[in-house]
Amino acid sequence: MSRFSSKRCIAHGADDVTEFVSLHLKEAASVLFIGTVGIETSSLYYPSELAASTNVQFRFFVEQRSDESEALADLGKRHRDWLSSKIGNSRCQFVDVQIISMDGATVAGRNAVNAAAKWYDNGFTDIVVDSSGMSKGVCFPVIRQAIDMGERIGANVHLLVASNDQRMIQLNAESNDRADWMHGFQGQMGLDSMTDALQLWMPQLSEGGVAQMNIMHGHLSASSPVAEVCPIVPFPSLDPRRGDELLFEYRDAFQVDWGNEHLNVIYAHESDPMDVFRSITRMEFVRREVFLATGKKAVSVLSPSGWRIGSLGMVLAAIDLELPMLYVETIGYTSDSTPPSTIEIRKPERLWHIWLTGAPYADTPQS
Amino acid sequence: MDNPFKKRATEYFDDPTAFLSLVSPEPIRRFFDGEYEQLFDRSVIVVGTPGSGKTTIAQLMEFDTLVALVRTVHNSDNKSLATELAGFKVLEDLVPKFLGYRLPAGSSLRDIWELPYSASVRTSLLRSFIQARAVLGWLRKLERAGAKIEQIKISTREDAEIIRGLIHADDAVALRNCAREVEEKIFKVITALVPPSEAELAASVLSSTYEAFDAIESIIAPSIPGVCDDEITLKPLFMLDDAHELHPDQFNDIESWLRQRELKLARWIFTRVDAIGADEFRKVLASTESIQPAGTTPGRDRVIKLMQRDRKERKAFRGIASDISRRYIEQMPALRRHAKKLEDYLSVDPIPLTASQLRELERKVKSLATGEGFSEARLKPLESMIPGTVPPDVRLALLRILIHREMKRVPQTDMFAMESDFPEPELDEGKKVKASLIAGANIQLLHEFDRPFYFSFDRVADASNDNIEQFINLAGALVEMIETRLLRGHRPRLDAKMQHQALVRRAEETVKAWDFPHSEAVRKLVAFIAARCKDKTLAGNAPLDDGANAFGIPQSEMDRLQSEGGELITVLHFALAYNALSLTEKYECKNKTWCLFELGGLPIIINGLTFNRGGFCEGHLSELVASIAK
Repeated sequence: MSRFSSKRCIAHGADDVTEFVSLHLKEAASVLFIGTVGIETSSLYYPSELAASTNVQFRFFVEQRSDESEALADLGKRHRDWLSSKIGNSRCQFVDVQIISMDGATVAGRNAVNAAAKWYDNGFTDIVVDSSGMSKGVCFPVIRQAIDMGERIGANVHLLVASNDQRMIQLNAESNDRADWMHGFQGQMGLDSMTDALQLWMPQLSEGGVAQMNIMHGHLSASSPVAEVCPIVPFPSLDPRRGDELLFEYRDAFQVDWGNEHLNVIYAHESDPMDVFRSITRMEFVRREVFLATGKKAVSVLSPSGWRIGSLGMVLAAIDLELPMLYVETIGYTSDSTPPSTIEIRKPERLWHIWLTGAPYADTPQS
Repeated sequence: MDNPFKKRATEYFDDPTAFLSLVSPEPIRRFFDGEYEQLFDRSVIVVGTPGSGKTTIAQLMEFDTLVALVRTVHNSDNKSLATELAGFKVLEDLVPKFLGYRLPAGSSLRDIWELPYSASVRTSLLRSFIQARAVLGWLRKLERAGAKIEQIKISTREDAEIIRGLIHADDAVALRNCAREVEEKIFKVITALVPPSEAELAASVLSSTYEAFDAIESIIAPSIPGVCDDEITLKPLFMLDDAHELHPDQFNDIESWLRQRELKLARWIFTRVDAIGADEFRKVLASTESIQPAGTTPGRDRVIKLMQRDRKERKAFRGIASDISRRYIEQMPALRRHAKKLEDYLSVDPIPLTASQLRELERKVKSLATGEGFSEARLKPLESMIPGTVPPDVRLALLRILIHREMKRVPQTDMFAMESDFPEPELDEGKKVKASLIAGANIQLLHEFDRPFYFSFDRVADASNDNIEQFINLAGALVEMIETRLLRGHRPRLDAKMQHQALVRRAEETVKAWDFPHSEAVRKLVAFIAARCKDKTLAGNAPLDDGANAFGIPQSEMDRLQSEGGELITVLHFALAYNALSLTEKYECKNKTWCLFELGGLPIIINGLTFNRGGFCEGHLSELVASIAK
């Protein structure tokens, strides 16, 4: 298999990413760039870097939620117009993707994958998924699909992310009232044979997310026990107290609602997705060893509900270790911030590139 | 278990024995009350808000829970539960009669609707998947209870020989393998990143529907350790939980499929209010006013059970709440040492105004009377209407209300007074003011002087909207306070002020934490209605006695909701689904027909309003629409 694994995963951070974009992506024969029209200008960074490269074809999702404020919809439109004018209409397409159906079901992943399926072409040598502005429900299934396609057509597949430590626009998210398996990441969850399997749940904590955590815990425990909860908190982090404050915010949930007395906390670097990936991998290998010895069925469930860069580490673990992912989709956003009047693209503080499949792994032995 | 009041949902208990310790027989009795046999021979839709007890009923009826109950029947609490169930023929000679399996609808079933196939193919997949899961679930429940699968026999309908063969019902092991194969094949399609085409699907063995329900009549289990040494014939009971998560078309299809009289198994669908459609729900609400509690008429092929009843049945819920809190306190050694019932911890004595507050009130009432020209002679008859048992502060507040009413009654002051300015006669048969007006005076004192109003067990139960989870949440606030007092060596009994403050704080926290879809709009809608109710409640003459807790629009406007409601329709769905509001249609008052949007218990507490039904402010649909505008 010519793809990344926990043993080998090529990743670049910070200035190395800029260099990689210049030396590889701009020089590649034919690139398919998949992105999203985001709210933050960080989502425009990579398109702006590659806009002038005529070897790149751009495809953008425009995420549609019925519950969105006019100001944010307006900002999205301005960003879309900016992308069109920067790249040119001949090399760029925009596709609306409905996130939530009329009856409240999460359809983001399925719709995104259906839309993206039309873009793939044997001629592409490189496929880039820019997750900077993409919601997880769209991004993760598209990453999985891109890996499958990349292996099929022999293309390199890259994951890019750009973000800033502080958001320009503070968003208030309104969440759905049900939990969903990430499309393409359900594994065997939901089969009758998994009913008595013990579940080890690894949720990524985020501020103000207790209600969503309770929804997910309720979903998991509806038909089988949650044996253990291992929350993932950011540490080291820009605010060194952030992890502690998150654990404090969730104390009632852990100790009372979920009856989880043994708190196994996973501390993972706030701005390094590889640290999250490695931490989950270590935990998972230990779990498999333990349960192999006992003969009991157990499964680790990931919930990428926290900070973006950390959640990318989770999707890497989910793909490599075939772990299911559970989440609660956002049905709409509002904001109290005033959108900026001009679009200014500055180099974001955090840049990452992760090479998912392709040339560097060609000599990797089949597992 | 530390504090069961903090563990808000019994679905977190994976051990049936722990689950049983917290189940009260009262809501079970209420559920089965009436023509209970009909619950097992036709389709049943159980409708309720989150926390109303739907999943508790479903979990109780699962086979492994009933087996656990029978095995622990020596426990006195379980004995009373078993007795109730025996009364409704769920148990016979301490042997379960039903093989219950609960399937949460979840995203897998809903996802079938998103597959790129014709509606008939999607329907076939959904029905097959449900039936395969049901068969697997029943067999697993029996195995868990200790039955050997090889010894399980399946009895099918006489005319279902072909289906019997297709599903391999002659051999339980083969039956299970076949069901598993169907389940896994469909599951693979549902969860595929890109599903196969319809042609590829037809080429697989999924070309026809797996029809176990059509054939299966009963399941004969071998001896079950601790239950029965002989064979047991069990009627399969299939329960689809959280059916509101299905697509509306899926819901309608499942509902009409399970309604077929030919099906011999028992089948229940649990759902939230919004799933059965606003029109349907409104019809059910209206129909339960006039027919038997079981909600049936002979010959109907479907039963709809509402988990939350009319607030007129408050006393019934108080009994349930009392039993539940007793069971919960039983799990708390620190509390049960002192008293076993929550009622015993809650003082029912009101706390009067302080001396200075009383003086201030006296001054205000005197000033009003003097200013409006009320002599002692004119005040005396008003004072005589107030019962002697009313405390001095409430007496003054009542007098003030009566003065205001008297002012409005004098013809010269207001020739054009509308009918609504003349409240209903405030006197009872003994020529004293009614209890509702006394409550109204109390509420006005709450707003004016912060005089505690929300105290006593009955008020906590009334605030719960017939919703068990809401009761546990509110009672939990009081129990936390009791625990803290015990820890500090204080008397555990809570006075009126402590209770009031704890309940208001808990209600505020809960509403602030609402995080369901459109919760922000629901908060706005509730705030608008509450503000109008407050104005009415605090009016000097207390025109509605104890005030308003609802907003009424002409029924004719409600009938135009679908066309004129816009976003309000969706917001209302969730407001009803999550107990923020409840709906009463075709309410007759003042020779008009109204539709009332009644505030839930939590907004009532936060805004200092009455729990009693009937008082409402008049308005229009357009005002409700405007209240949620962005």
